[in-house]
Amino acid sequence: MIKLFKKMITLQGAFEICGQWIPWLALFLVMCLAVGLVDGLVLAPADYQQGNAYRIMYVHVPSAMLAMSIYVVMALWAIMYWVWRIKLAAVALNISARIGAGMTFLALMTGAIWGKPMWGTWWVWDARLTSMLILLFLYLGIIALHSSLPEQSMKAKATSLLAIVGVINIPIIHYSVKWWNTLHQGSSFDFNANNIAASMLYPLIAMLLAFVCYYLLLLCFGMRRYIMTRHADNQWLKQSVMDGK
Amino acid sequence: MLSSTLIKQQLLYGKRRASLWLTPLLFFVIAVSFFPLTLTANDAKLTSIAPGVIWVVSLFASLLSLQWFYRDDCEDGSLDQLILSPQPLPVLILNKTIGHWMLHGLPIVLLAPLMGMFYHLNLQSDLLLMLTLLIGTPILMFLGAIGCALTIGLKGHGFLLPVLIFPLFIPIIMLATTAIKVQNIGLPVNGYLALLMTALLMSAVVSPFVSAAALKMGVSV
Repeated sequence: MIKLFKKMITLQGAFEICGQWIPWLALFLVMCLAVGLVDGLVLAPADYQQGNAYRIMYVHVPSAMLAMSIYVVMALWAIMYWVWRIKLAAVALNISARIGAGMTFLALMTGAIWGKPMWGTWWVWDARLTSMLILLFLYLGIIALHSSLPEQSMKAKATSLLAIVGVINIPIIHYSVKWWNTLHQGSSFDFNANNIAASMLYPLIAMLLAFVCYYLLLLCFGMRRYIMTRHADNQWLKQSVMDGK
Repeated sequence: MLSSTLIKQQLLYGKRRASLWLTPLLFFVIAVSFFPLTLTANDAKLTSIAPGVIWVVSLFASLLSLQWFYRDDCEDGSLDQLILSPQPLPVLILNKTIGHWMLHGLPIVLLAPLMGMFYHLNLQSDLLLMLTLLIGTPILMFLGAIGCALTIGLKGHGFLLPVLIFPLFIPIIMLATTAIKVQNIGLPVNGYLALLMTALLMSAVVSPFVSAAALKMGVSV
């Protein structure tokens, strides 16, 4: 495990490991996506109240969950960067910010599309919607900071600091917004209560796995792209690419 | 205090150049009086939007003042001296932030009840508004100091600072305005004030360290 970790934090190791993982992640993604989509869109029964409209949940819920968890993962990258000065962690942070912003946007969009038939409006100033919107702002702030700083190590340090400050703020935002206003239905995932039928839950889990794979896949692609563009003249890189690693 | 000189220095600036703190204050008064002109002059509606308007405008005023937080120090080199000084940097930043707040935040807090009168707030809400501002504006300065330290030396990125720190301000502004709403329907507001105080203490503890880390990185490059 430690050996794998040590390999991962070197440029060459990260490049090769990402290269090895990509086909497996892609395969698993396709499998989960196939199961989730077929089961969720075709096999799962229609909701007694929301009819077929609820099926957008299979995109909405995973993207919303990822939007929040990617922020936490991003803060973990940031801590990794500050504690061990692993440069690649900062690269992963930056790529994660972009993917996270995309996920948050997707969650907001699918939420709006779901909200129109159910609540009769595209947008309400409800607690969960508002905190997602703020999350999007936090992501965009990190991306903006990253793109306006001139130099690579400065980008890494500044964005990781901001990510850590942001993650302290997330629970505060969550609760302050919750006490402010609430209309959103309760969480679909709750391990104590049975809010959702098993036939609807399994495709949701499949879709969630698919989204996690998608994140990891994009992360691997992003890391490889970064290494290839930044260190294009390295001998080992040329060799690795030649060998098809 | 380890180096209250920094606070004294800020106040001395204020004494020597009154425009330093008067201009943001003027901005505050003008901006607050714009809303009745554009939205409504209806008394009841004005009263209901007053806390939000005054809070948002004081947020903008704080931001405008934060643009200058490190700028002069950075240009004349005293920032380098601050970092090199044997005193711990977080303490220096804490003092600098307090001084900055006394110069730019406190005048707004003192003027806010007057603006509340503009909006026909009753005395009770007016005082509560002032109290939330008294607790809240230092938080804005503490969080803003982080943003300033992160964007130091970036020329021509005036919009970056607000983009970075607005999301961090949202809980504060929500708690403060909700407290006033809650008071209007006769419920106790202690909880909200306690939460605001918690946020103040937390930001006062965390912000100087984060700012110090950010400053060191910005200057070392």
